[in-house]
Amino acid sequence: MRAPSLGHRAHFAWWGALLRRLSGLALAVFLPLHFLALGLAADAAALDTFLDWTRAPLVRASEIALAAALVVHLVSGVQLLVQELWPW
Amino acid sequence: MTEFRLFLIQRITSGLLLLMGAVHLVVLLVAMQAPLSAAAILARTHASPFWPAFYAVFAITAATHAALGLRVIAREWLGWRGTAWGIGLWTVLVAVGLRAAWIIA
Amino acid sequence: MSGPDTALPDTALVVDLWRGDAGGGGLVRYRVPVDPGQTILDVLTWVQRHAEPGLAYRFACRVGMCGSCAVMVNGVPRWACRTRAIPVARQGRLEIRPLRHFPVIRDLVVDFEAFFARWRRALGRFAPASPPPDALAVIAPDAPDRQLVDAAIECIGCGICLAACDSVGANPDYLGPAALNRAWAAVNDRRDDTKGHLRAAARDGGAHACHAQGSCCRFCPVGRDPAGAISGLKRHLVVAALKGRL
Repeated sequence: MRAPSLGHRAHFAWWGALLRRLSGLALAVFLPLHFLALGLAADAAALDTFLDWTRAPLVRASEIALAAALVVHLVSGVQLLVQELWPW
Repeated sequence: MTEFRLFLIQRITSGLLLLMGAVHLVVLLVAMQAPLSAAAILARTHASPFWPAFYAVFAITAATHAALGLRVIAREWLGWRGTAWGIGLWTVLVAVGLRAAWIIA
Repeated sequence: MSGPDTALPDTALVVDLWRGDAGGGGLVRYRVPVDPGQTILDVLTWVQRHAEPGLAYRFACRVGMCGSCAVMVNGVPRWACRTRAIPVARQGRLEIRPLRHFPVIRDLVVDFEAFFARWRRALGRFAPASPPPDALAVIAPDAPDRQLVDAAIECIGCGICLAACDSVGANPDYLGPAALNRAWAAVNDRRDDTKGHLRAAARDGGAHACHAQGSCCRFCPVGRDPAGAISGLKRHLVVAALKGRL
């Protein structure tokens, strides 16, 4: 990727598009992990062990970061849909 | 499958994810009233055939939206142009998602 | 730009100009005397007259009407004739490069053929609906569709929006803001064959390749709204596709 070269002139919509992309990337990486974790439910004990692990502070922090990524992606996406589809 | 059709699918899945995501969010908020455990999760998903069906559709929709998004990122930031890897990625995501939906049924 | 050829005043701008051609090149440093109110075009002219007669750069009207003088100034696409040098200089330094995303011919002169090729691929021209009408079309100036055309038609093809758009750089197929803005003007022309324009905008690299970064609007010197035009095209395309009319 060519580095964005607009320097200090990068503007609000430019940051919005970048945040939408980066938050989407984070969520897309998380998604299969989430599916695999839930798949542990085949063995209830395995899932419970996993859930205990998620109480660890680092995991909790990652969960909060993911929730933040979801909010950012959702808000940014809704803004894009409105901008594109609303008959201004 | 033209670029425009993929764009259309991306917009449609984003709308669907808004709706289904809202439902999922409510479920999460209810679930987090008590400590998370396998028994509690499975009790909820076993309560009605609606839930595995809902999560199967949710998983396919999310996997499609994610795969299409990753495809655009890879093309624009890495220069990846082929279609095969994208289809492969989508298949893997859908498979892992449906597997999870099946397991909680 | 005035001043004697020989004497250098106390203060000078450090100006790094990109020199080279399609094979490559690099920044060359010049020291240009400060003249209050000087524009980037004045700077380039001084360099060409006093330091480097071989410098290649474009200009025509010198008064911000033709759009010929677009260059990158400190990373931002601008018209050289309408950009004052001192306010955009960083610690007294200017870095001037050819317009981003265009192939270089020499120094600051770029090849606009790809710009017009995109225009053609987007069907950015009037294409009359058939059969030919019996009478002249009467379109009131305040008709809503005419106002949409008015908002888009004043593009003078300077290329700054393409230089500003990261999607143009990342996706060689992308038609880009200027061509799609022109297609939008044609779509809203009620004498026009709308379907042909929509089909062109639905091709690979069409309106859907825009990610709403908005840099086109941010840097357009004549205040056009290519992002809005592209959103309009997306709207028409989605409706037409869902109705099976594409």
